[in-house]
Amino acid sequence: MNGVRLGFAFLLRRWGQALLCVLIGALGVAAVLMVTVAERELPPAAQRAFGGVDLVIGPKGSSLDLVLCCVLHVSEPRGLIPLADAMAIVRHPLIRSAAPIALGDSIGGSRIAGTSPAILSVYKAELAAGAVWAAPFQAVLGAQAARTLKLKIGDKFAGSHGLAAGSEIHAEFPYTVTGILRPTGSALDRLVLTSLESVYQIHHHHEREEAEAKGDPPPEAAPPAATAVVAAFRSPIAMASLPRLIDATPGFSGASPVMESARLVRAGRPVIMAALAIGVMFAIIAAATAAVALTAAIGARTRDLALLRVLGAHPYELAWIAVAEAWMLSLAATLFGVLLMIVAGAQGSRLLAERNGLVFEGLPTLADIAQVLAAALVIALLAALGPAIRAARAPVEEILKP
Amino acid sequence: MTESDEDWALRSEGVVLERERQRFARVPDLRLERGRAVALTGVSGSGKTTALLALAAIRRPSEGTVIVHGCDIWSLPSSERDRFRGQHIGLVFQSFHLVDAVSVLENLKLASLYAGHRPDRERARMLMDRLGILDLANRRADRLSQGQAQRVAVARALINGPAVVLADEPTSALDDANAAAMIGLLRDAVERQGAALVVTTHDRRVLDAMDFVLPMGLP
Repeated sequence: MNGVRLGFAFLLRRWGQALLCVLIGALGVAAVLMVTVAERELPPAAQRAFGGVDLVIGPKGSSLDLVLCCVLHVSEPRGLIPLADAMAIVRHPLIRSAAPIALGDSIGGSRIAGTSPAILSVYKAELAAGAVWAAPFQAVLGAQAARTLKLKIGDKFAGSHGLAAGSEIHAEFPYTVTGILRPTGSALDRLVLTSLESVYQIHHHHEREEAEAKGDPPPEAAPPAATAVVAAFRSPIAMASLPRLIDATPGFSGASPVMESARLVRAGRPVIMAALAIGVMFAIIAAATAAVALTAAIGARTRDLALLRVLGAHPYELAWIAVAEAWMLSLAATLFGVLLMIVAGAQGSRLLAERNGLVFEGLPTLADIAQVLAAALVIALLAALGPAIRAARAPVEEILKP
Repeated sequence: MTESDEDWALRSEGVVLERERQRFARVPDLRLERGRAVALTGVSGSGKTTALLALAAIRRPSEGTVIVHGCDIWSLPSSERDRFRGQHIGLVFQSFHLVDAVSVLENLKLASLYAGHRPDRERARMLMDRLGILDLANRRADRLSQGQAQRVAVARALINGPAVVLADEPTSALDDANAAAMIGLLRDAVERQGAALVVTTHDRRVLDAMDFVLPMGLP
């Protein structure tokens, strides 16, 4: 029977205390990994969500709102811009490609965006299968939308009015899926793309129905409009001039997703830092609690360790038993902590991808795990040293009193 | 070590015990040859248990020398003293003090291991058999009755063939039959292995089996 087996036997003898120690340690490990992964993965995930969009042009208003609505597709549209004027603005030598976006309907939580095939160039997206729409009411699905809606090429579906689920369904205007995009990691993955004409026809039909219901004459077709125009720059130099130039144009505002994101990060810096500090503090408290529990667990072995001294054990043999016991606890805590983090990370990244379009790998790397394990072993060693030294120096006759 | 030291398994001279910096007991001077057994007697609080701890190199006496197997045990550094105790002194505590987390057999193995010996499974089985605890070999120590634990404590004390066996009230938890087996085993250890035996007891069954009975002295 060596020190490791004896340490294991001691742990089994007080399994409740050992289990508590492992659970506290596991929470600490999971918290540290979560902070590490979130700090590393979230900023690039936000960048990826923008896709290749360098500029978004919309009606006058908040630039951030424009980015949230027409690039990340997480907020409601706030107005329309005249299509011809907007497309004239983006016919600029510093703009590589541009595409209008007309929002209005949705299907199963995915937005249906009327646009032009140039949007694939803006996002640098490619078709995984099928072809781009060639006529109204043909649709190309983003990768996540296809997966969520369980649609394949040739399938038909009808959109529902507005962007909220459960609205009136336009059954008289069925779409046919003609293509599915490869995943891009951007908000495009959650969209259903179709021609502008599809959106206009449904919109006009809806207006006519409303007028008929009120007994009004049928409305005239309005000039083509869009919710926004998204564009990709030919050169980064455009970043400095174009948004300001567009802002100066009456009726339009231009927003750079990267700049808005930086502005958002700057504005939210105290909140982000507070969240990070809370995460780190939680990790430190969990690690300290685990260390205290570990110290208590090994401290409870004082009698056993003193007894082994009576039997002839050398102080370093006692220290090894205490350290082996502490390392077994920290190893188990790290294992459970990593498992906890993998489950939480997978769920968290799935929810973020579904709700906010932030696609990222929420799992710790082997290097993350190795660092946390090394830290856990060092903490365990420090926690074990005190009781081990106390056991080696303990007055045996006091501990073993009848 | 002097030549005369080798003649004795245990020799103690002028051992005085202190409690809270006050002298409270004197251990009778002992010169025990191998194969001899002595009982220390005295009223409760007379220092019998403390005397055994001093003879076992666990509690330092305020005065006097203790020589076991030719070695002045209190002149050894702490860790060497622990190892020497493991190798040459067998101890039976009044409260047994087994390692609760492991089995009976593993308790015996630990005593060999930490004394620096290779665990001798056959010797362990023989001792357990003689003490009637062979069927308990794999039972965890914290699941033993008082009497069973006491017999395991005796087996552990004898596992390394010590020069001196020190037993504190070794029959206090035993019925007559088991007490007789215990006494037989302790006498056997004394006679066959050439060990010296020191017991503290009030038990007439034990006193009758000893070569000498010495009362604890006042300082």
